[in-house]
Amino acid sequence: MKKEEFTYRVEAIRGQLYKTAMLYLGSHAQAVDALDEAIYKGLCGYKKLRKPEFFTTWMTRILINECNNELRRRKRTCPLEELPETAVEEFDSLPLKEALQKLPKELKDVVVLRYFSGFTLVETAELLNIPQGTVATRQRKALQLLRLELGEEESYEQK
Amino acid sequence: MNRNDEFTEFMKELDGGVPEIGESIKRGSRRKARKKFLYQPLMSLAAVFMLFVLSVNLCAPVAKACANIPFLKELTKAVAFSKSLRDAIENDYVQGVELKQTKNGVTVEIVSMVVDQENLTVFYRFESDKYKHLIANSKVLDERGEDEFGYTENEMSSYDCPNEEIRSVSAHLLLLNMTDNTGLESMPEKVTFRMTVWDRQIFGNNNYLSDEILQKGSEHIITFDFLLDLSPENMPQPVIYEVNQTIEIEESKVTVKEIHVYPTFMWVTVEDSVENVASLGDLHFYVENEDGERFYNFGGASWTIPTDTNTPVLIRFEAESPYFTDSESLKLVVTGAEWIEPEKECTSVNLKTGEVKSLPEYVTLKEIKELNGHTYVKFSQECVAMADERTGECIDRRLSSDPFTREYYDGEGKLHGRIYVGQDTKEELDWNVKWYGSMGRDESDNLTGIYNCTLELKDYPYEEIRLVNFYSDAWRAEEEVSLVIK
Repeated sequence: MKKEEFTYRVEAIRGQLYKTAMLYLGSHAQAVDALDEAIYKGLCGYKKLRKPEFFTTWMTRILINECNNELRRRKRTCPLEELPETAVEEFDSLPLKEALQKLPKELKDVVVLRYFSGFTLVETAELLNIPQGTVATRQRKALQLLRLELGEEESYEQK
Repeated sequence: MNRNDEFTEFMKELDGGVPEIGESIKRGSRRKARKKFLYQPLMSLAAVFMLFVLSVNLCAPVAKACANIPFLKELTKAVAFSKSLRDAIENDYVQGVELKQTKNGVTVEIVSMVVDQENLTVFYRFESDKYKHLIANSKVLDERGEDEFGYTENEMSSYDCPNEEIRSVSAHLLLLNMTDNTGLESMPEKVTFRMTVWDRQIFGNNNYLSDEILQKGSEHIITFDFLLDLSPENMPQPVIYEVNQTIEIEESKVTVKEIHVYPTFMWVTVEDSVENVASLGDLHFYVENEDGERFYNFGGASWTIPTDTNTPVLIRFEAESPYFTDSESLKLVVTGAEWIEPEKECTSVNLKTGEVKSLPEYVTLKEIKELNGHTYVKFSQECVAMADERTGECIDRRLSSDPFTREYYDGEGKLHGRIYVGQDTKEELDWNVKWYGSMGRDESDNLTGIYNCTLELKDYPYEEIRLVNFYSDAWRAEEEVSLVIK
């Protein structure tokens, strides 16, 4: 892959990457920082990517790792307050954005990738390195807690 | 608003926040290059870091290198002719310099410079209410302003720039006389950058600093001296590749010994085998990486001539630099070479009979004519006009810059060191022989690949003139001749 192709491909998925970072981190500035870092790491490693058809999942995985690094740093100074799956009423009372942030991490990861970043069930399973059945189960739970009525294969149309 | 409506609104909000990627790519690329710049193959990383920190704290030019450099686009435009310098600037390898002087109604501002282990490029601009169009001829001297260093290329294409536009001038400070090793061995700490400023009007229609202008040096407006701090200890060491591979070109052997890659240029050192009958005059090549990106040699070369005939001649060719590319593989592709056969070092021209001997290959004598006491000897040289793969424009890649040097032997065998260059050299100047030429163009203004050149002789009393050849024989590769560097 040449640098021009890398640039072109990153440009094509920038919306997807930004939304992923934004939903993981909840802050525009930190999402842009994570995106910058992921692009830098992508620039360092794109020549080693043997199968360019996996570029999107490869870049997204780099980005998710960056987001998780930032979340781990935050946890040390400001622990994340998650709600348990049983706290249905608490989720109901929150605006969607806040409810999303308080989902248990394993549910949040799935719903962000499936319904906000537009990945398929198969791609999500690959990105998170979990079975597709687990993705299906977790997305159902997350949608129930968020009271979202989105189809199993539905995701918001990407720009 | 129900949850699904919230979802739709939230998605619109996210779509509105998507940033442009272009700046992220640029920042990432610069970080990557900076990582390479800071990592010294010949020094420990800790030592480099300490040096870097000390330099930022103690030395203004390096500290400014870390700050935002204004006018990056203008700097890039000022070095449009040099891919290596453009790459250096785009990767932040440029130092801010804020020096300004005003004299005689002229203000010169040095805005920045690019320095590495052998070369210095200075960016400057003019300001003047008195003179509409200024030009400068520059050179680099020692700290006291007395001894000149190396060779300064005054970029003539900048002569038509408006005063306020940033221009550049590059100096190769370590060019040595390789026979007696005189010259600098390493970059100095400080240099005097001297600019002699002229009003563009005195050039008339010429776009070059002709001998006539140089002879009339007293007509310049003013001279400026700027003291520049180069801080050579902060410069990265070159990346060195030991190649030691030999190629055979028409029964002659040439060994590529090693390659030194600096931020702004690359040296390719070549050994001309002692077994070769002809001497290597020039080598045309490019270095290519795995992405097909090419780095061409651009004609500069220096020779190390041994004192005994059993030691081979070493020639260093200068080329564009891949320093700021993250090349995983590099190969050197030879496209042509020029040789000087013994007994063919000079072309002799009989001005009466038109007989010519030992013309360089691809050069033809077209005509000799007398006019108003002047003798005109016209040649044509078949060149290789190629399309520039980068821009698509047709560019001139001649076999050599000219078929002949600026020396000649007169009819008595006396060597003269100076053929004047320029068609408009005035009569009253002290010249007997001058040379000028131009690339042939067709009706559509496309290059024809023929270089037409004229030797003009004034009051020349002899029947014969001998011109010193740049080459006698030339070779062009029909198939790829390449070797692997890494």
